[in-house]
Amino acid sequence: MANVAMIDYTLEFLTATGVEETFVFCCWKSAEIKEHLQKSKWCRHTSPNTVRFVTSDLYRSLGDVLRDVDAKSLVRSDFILVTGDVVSNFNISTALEEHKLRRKMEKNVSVMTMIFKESSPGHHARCKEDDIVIAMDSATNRVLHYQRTQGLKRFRFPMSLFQNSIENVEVRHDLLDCHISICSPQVAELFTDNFDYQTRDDFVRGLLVNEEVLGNQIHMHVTTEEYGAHICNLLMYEAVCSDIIRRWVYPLTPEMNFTDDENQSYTHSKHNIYRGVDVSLGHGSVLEENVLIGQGTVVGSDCSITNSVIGQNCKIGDKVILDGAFLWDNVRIADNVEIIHSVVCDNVEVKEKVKLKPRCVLSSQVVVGPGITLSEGTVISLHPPDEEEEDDDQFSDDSGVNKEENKVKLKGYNKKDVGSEGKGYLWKADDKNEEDEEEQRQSLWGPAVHSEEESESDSDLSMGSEEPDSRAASPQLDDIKVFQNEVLGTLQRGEEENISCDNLVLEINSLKYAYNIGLKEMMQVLSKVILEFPLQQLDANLDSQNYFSALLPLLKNWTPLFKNYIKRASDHLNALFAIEEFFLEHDSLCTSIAKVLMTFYQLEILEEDVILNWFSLRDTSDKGKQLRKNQRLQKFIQWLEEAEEESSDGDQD
Amino acid sequence: RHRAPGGGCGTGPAPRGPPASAPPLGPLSRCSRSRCGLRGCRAGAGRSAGERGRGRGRGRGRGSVRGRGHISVCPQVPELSREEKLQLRKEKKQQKKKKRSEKGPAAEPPEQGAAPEPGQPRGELTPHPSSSLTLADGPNDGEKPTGGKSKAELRAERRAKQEAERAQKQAKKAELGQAATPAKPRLTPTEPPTAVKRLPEHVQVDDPAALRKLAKKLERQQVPLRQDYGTKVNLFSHLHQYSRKKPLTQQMSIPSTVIHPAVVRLGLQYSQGIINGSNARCIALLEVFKQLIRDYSTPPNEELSRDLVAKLKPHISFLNQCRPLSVSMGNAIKFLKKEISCLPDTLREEEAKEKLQSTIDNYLREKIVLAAEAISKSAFEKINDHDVILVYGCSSLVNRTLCDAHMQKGRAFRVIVVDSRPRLEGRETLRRLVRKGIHCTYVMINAISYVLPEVSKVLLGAHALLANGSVMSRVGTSQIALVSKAYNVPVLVCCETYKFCERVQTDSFVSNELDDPDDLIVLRKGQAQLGGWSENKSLRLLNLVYDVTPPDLVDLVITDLGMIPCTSVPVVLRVKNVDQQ
Amino acid sequence: MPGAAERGAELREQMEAFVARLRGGGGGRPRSEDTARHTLALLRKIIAHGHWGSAGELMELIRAEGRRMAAAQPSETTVGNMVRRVLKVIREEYGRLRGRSEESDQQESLHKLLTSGGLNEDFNTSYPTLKANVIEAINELLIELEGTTDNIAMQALEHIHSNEVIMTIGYSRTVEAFLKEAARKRKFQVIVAECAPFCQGHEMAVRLSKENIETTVMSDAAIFAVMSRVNKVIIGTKTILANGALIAVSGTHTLALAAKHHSTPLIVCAPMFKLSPQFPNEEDSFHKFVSPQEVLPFTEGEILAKINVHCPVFDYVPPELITLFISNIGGNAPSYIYRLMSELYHPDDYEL
Repeated sequence: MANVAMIDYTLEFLTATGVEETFVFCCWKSAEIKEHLQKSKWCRHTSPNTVRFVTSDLYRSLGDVLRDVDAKSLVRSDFILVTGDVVSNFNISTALEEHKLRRKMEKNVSVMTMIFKESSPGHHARCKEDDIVIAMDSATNRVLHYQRTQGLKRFRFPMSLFQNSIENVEVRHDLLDCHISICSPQVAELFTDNFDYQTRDDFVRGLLVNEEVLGNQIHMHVTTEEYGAHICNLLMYEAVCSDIIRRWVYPLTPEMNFTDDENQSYTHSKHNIYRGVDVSLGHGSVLEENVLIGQGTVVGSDCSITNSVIGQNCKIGDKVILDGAFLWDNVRIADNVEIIHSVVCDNVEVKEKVKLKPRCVLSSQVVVGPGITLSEGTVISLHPPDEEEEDDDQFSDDSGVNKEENKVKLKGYNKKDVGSEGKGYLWKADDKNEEDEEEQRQSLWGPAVHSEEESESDSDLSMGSEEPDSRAASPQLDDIKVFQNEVLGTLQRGEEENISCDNLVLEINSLKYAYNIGLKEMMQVLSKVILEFPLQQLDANLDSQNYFSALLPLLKNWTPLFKNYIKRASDHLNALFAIEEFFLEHDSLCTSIAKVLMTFYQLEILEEDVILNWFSLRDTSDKGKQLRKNQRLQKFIQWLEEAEEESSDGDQD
Repeated sequence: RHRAPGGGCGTGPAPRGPPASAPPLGPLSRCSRSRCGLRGCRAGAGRSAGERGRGRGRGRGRGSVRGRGHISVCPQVPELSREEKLQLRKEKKQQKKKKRSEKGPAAEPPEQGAAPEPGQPRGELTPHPSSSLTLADGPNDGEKPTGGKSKAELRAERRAKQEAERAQKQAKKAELGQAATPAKPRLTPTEPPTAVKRLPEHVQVDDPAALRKLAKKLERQQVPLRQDYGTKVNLFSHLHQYSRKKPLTQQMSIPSTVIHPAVVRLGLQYSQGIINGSNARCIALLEVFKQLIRDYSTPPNEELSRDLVAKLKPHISFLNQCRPLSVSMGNAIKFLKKEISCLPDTLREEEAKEKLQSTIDNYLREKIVLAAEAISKSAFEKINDHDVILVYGCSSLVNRTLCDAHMQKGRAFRVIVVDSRPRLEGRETLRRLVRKGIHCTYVMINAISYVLPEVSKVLLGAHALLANGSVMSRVGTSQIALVSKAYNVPVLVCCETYKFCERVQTDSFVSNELDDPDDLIVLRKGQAQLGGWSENKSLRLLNLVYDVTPPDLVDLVITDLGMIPCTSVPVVLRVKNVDQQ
Repeated sequence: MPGAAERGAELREQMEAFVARLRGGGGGRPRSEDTARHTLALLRKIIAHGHWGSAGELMELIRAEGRRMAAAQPSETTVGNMVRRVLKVIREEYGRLRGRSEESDQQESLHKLLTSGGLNEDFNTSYPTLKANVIEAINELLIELEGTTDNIAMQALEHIHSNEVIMTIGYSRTVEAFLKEAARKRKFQVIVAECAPFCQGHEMAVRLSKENIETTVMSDAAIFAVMSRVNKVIIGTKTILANGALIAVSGTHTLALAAKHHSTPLIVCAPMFKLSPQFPNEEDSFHKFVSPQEVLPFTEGEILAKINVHCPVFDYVPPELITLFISNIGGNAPSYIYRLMSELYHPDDYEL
């Protein structure tokens, strides 16, 4: 990133904002990262920020890391959670104050403060992949609803958002997630408690969904002035790079040389041209604007370079055109080459008259040319196509190379891909995982660069819903269906292998998050499923008698299940509505509704007053009224009312 | 069609004119009377001239005048081919010949004078100089607009006009005696244009008498008086300073009695700065006036040409209260009033309203749209490839010129947009240009000396061009011109001729506008330094709107009449005056 | 001894912190005087705790550290200036110990200027008292720093007559003190150009009006429009260059040009420590550009990717536009700056 390792930006940001101790968690390539950091200024004794390493190959997600944090109990106080690719000049202090204050006000309720940057839609630093819509309580900056917009045309906000007591709710789409969050120690614990949290999204969504259950809140802080972005794909890489060069991240500008390493010193001149030490520029070459040239790079004559970053000790021939090119160190470029909006990694050699169309990636040590044109989005690496499984970012990988060398002997390069003297393989997956190859390509250059339907499909892929038909209609509905089946399946298994209820709860929870189901739907689905459950077993003869007898034990078993989900009055109502709905569907059974309700009541799943005011609801369909006419039900209600009176009498004396 | 007023105005209203209305006009009626006396008799002159039998020359002169008058009145066919126009003039002459029994060879000199002088501006008024008609004024006239004018040419031209003017003057002097009486009645309708000569009230706020007068006038017209806001910088205590928070409409009973709702809306849009920039404001004004006229109906035993003008007055003064009228608006109003007052009484009301609306449309089309076209055309060859052009603020004209140069001519140039607080109009310019795909750079006005070394041209818009050649424009313009001079960068000003104005001004103090001082307050790092400035009695906020650029800082003015040095504004004005007869 | 080691470490840390702060743009608007004082304090520490035998070694040490500090933020020339002052002090003290008298040294420095690098003495002989003397001298320097603003303000009444109109731009503590001092005796009014985008002018105006000086704030665009009614322009500056030019807050050049156009005198209030022996160069080093955010908010959205936004902090004002410098040692014309330069710094130290 502008000739400086990304993590240095992150660490600089942390140090500048006053962080004194930083834990760097790395799994992939931990050795190199460690080595790099030990050389950097962060590990000097004068550095105000002491950097520690925790490396493990088992880290597959943020969740794993935080669980490990909790296990090792590394943090005892509030901490800042950032990904290693955040570039920011944000000053955390005010946000931290707010956070602390909130936590003082009401003990441990607010667990996390997320930092957002105000930036209108369409800004190039807004990553399409994690574009979000947020509903917040404008009085308290509390996050009420958090949803990714990707691939969605329509958004649904839970009604409760606007029903509850908050006077003004803001729904904002003008926010850019900086991926900086101030966390309280609880966050780690919460991750441990819910093993299904993998990403921060899971966490946030999970917390928001059963906010009432866990009683935790998430708040947000919106900054307008400072810069903050995280580089999740090459588009963002490009965007943030150009922002750095255009000085948006001041004071983190190249000529500031914050890494404090002597061959990173640049001079800044008009039109944001940054030159390193002994850069030589051939006669007639022009650096138009926003160009960064690393130390010891030699540029030939009659070149035109604009909006580009060139690493150290590169050799660039004559009549080369670079526009939006990102050259890493020791790149050798011959004459008459044209590179547009592409990334060229370390030690790559580009021969004469090669043209790189936009969004090409030449992984390290690749050689292309002479005289070929790489079409849009070509990715060339030294990794033979057959074995590119786990590592989805080997374009930035130079260690793997040496072990490739010998393979090169036995496997020749495809000349028409890389040119007559080229070295490297076109990165193409074989047919079976065509799709995820597509996915990977997109994960390189985010979805933004793809046409509408492509990004759509991609979004669906990333949403991970397995059966294809779910792509057709709006996801939520299908999700609920699928979810319902899943729940049903779970319960059946639970029934057969009589799994304990809390495990069931866990499973259902995870399903709930997987399909992003709100509590309300959850409630309805659950009661529906359970009520329908007996129907599956005793299929044909729908007699209310044996139906109920079949239902009763189930209810008894699964009481905790309900208890877990039915907490607020609204839940009770939802449950009741679900029940009512069910009985309206199977009116043959509606005689047993009183019994069912009775059971619910006895099992203390539903409370009497809720039942009462459900019953007294007038705005129901005539069928509903029919149902309420049912004299058993009438009796039951009557009985309840009496019971209530009695109890109230009891209170009096 | 057009000579009906010419003839009619002498005879028609002659007996009806209430001479009594002259005295209350007070001292100013001196100039006004004399001036419109002039006009009146100029109008009458034709007729009496005819009788005097020096008709041919004058006739031709007037004919030619009308020829252009014709263009300005009904240019639904603005690109009349040369032949057509000559044809037109011919038949006009025929009519005269018929009318005027005998002809005298008296007015030969005026002919030379009169004939070329109208032809010349017409040549450029027509959007296609190629097809522009070049009559007596020599072959080179056609390319004048494009080729710009050498000093010599201008001088020559000016002399020619002066000749013409003098000739006409004498001619009129002669008949002033007789013409005075028939001219009187024209007094009332033609008074408004003379109001430009009068010192406008919004630059004499410090004079209690003037204020009282204003208050009275407004009260008479049932228009609320807008209160000034906050302490003024004492250099500018003669100007109004309104607060955007307190719009005029707050003091008004809705629905207003006299003010047309459309006008109320417009006024609000003005005072809130929603409609901004002299072109936009002028267009909006005329559109609203069209609606006014549409909704107007002459009360019984009233005469449209008089009543309508009277009806307009409160509206105008209402708008003036919302925000002082821009020069463009002033000119437009002047024009409209004249058109109304020149309406022949023979017309039925619908016809009259129709006619007025079409006249307004033509005015808009010709003075603004076509003018802009002409300007961007002639500005083309000032914009070369690899130019770095500096623009300031947001001028619709400049934007259009740049966009045309980029889109149509495909010129490859960079633009540096300079902006200034508190209005930050440059951002709008930026958006528009970037949308068109022009490579832009954006700086604040106090950084110009950083960008100027690379600039090759400065292109500025104007609010008005004053008769002494100074350019009145958004505050900061003069500053940019100054620094550009220091860096030897040519300064070009784009301005339509309808924004030219007879006023003269040498500094930015006498006649200017103060915007809401609260705009200066800025919130940085969550604190506004100037928060309670009004409590602090020794602290003043100055939010100036315009400034005046001395002519020596401007190299060239690009107008719809081609490129002229700003010193030749008076020439153009004179041409227009004749033009509007 | 162990104490030395940790004191050394602590000193290092302070250095790092200082450099870091300089890098980070000093945090808000750093006041040059504080920077100067801070630099001196650090240098004094270095002299006190650093390991050096002779004056020569000491000077090398100071140079090295000075170079590092100055490089951290080229626009903060005061740092470099202070280092030069200290070097000069060392030379003098050394000279005095060598038994050369003050005035001879005085003349010599002029002489040196003419034949620079002519006679360069070796600073090898080590004097035990040198450290004490140097530190003593530096303390004097610090005291001198304290007084600068007041000394400048002293002269206010010589320059401001009653009810005149004075224009200034942005915020300068020196100018503020200057005007306030004058306001104690005289009645006059001040017009402040706000100096967007930072609008330091607002703060200035508020502070002045608190002393009930009749103050007017206006946007930078109105400078030229109003200039015709102004009869003095009094500004502060960031740096005075060797040729008498200014590096001052952006907008000053416009202001100066406007003043020139109306031949209004332009007076610059600047303490001596802002005098820097550098010459202007087109490579605009010691220039400073901050984030475009200041000028164009992030909320502008997509167009930001397509445009360049510049937000320079300083202007270069050529000497011919400046009428007078008022420093803590009196008023001087720009043409005289070179002399002051040679008195303040030793010619060999111009290049750190």
